[in-house]
Amino acid sequence: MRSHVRQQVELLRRQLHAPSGDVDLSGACVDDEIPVVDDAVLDARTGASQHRAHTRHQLSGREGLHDIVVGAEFQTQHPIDLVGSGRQQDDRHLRAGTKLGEKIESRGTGKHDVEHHQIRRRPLQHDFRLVGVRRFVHPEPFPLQVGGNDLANPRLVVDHQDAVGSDGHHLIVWRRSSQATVATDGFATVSVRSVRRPYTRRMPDPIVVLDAVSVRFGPTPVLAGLDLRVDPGTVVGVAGPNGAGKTTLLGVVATLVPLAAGRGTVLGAALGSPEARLVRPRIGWSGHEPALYDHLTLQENLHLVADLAGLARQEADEALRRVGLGAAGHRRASESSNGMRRRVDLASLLMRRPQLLLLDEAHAGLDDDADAIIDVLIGMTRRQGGAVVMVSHDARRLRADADVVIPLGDLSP
Amino acid sequence: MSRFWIQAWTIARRDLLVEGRSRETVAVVVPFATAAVFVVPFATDALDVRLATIAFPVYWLVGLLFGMQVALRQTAVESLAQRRQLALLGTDPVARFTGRVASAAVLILVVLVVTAPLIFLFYDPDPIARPWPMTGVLVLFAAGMAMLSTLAGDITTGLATRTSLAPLLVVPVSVPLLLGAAQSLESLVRGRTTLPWVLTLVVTDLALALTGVMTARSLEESNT
Repeated sequence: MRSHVRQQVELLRRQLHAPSGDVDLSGACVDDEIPVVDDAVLDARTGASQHRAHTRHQLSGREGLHDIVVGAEFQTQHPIDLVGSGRQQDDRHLRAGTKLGEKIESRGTGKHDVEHHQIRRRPLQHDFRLVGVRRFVHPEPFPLQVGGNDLANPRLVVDHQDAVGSDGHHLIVWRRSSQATVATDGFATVSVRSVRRPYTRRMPDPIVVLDAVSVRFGPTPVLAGLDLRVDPGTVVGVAGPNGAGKTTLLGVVATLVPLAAGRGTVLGAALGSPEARLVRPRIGWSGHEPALYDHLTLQENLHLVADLAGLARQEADEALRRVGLGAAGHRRASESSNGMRRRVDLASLLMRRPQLLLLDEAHAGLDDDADAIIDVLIGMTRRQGGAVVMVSHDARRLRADADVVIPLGDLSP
Repeated sequence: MSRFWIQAWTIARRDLLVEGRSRETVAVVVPFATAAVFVVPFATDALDVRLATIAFPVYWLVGLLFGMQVALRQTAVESLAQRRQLALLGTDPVARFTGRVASAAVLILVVLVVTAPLIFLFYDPDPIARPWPMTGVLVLFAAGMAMLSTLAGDITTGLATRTSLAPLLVVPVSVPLLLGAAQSLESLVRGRTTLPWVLTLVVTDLALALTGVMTARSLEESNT
């Protein structure tokens, strides 16, 4: 089984770094040798006439915070199919010298079909970040289609917040979150995901901010006056002895543990506010106790996660295969080793692609192969502009993985 | 189907799958419920009580006690990690409550349906003039017991005294359910109108449903 897992991990890595073929455009896909956008590309412009993003919003009662149920559609000079409803028009310009990672301002007007047939018109201003420009090997303009999601075909999966443009030789992706993958063999298909998660209209920057946060369990203070800032693309390690409040800190960041004092924001939502509940689906947590149901099989456990998260069960099966448990899916969780149970937990995160990944002693008790899956998860989260908070007793491990390590023992009472 | 109902169905399906594998209700609760129905006639032998007169009270008492056991069964208890996972998956707390109540109601109905023939076999009560309305009474009673016990289970989640405290919360509030169900059945036997007692059941169920919906969010917050 180990060799199989290694193959899967290697496959994941290849997908993230492949120089051609299946390419992930979520940061990792950006070729180092093309750090600055080519002049030819810079002339490409996706104006209202070329690009139309259609979204349908579920009424949430709050401006700027919606459940998107239908993704975006894009139009280039090539024929496309139209899917969805509503209209949102904005102009986006690439300036000469635009660098990868640079924000691109977009202004326009929006007309949204809102549930209950309400129509809103309002000015739009989105900031997109240029994260990928890739020169295609095909000299001829390639057909770009929208719609359909046949995973067997070469595909480009674009989140609803992304924008795609093309000058016929280059594919340009502006993105605000999530993943985009593209495969080209002379034919590219854009598939728009149906996304059922809330988003903020501006990419939260930073992802986590805690300001003088304190937590008490009854009369017992657990955290006192803690400050924390986690920026997109970073991994923050939290070290500390038993009882220092590491897991409690993760609970706070996951918006699950109420604050006794202080304030903070996670993914743009203020802790303790109703919005905090809405960002929870964008948070993934892996702890030392997997959240599995003993009487269900490993596959049924993962299907349960997929059903509740609004994902396709095929994605659950694919994730199970990726962690090397494709053949063991029929085993009950109670009859599986702890390592297998932990892998299922990791598979659920691979499937969900959380924007904020919380790892609670995630490496403890795992073999090298499962360890590598965590590394892939961390890399995936970073590349899609998310962030990772990992807690561990193992300071050496944290120093290896994290950009910054916070000694919690010094901050808690 | 809306996301709410998908989530509720997923939770109910999860509970029923777990029950199907663990057989906690079928292999433990139901046998004890049938044993209770069987034992009571021996206990009342010396009291010179006519069994037919206590048949239905015994039935509802068994339904109350073992229905509560079904809803509070060990395999229905979610661990902290599982509760956190449900919250982070964006599971609507009301959908979660709805799903858990639905699965518990199905299992309570199993207990009621299995013990009903035994009551007629051992106690020989008067026949029910109109058996079909009885089905509705059973469903209303099972739904009420499921909601009440699920609420009590959620309120006592994480407490060391859960197993003793939860039944203490259930029993007093179950009085209108017991009264409504027992009197509805009595009215069906006597051929009288059941409307007031069915309404009692319906109003109690609605009140419990409202309580469940209103407290689901805060209970989730306190339990994660």
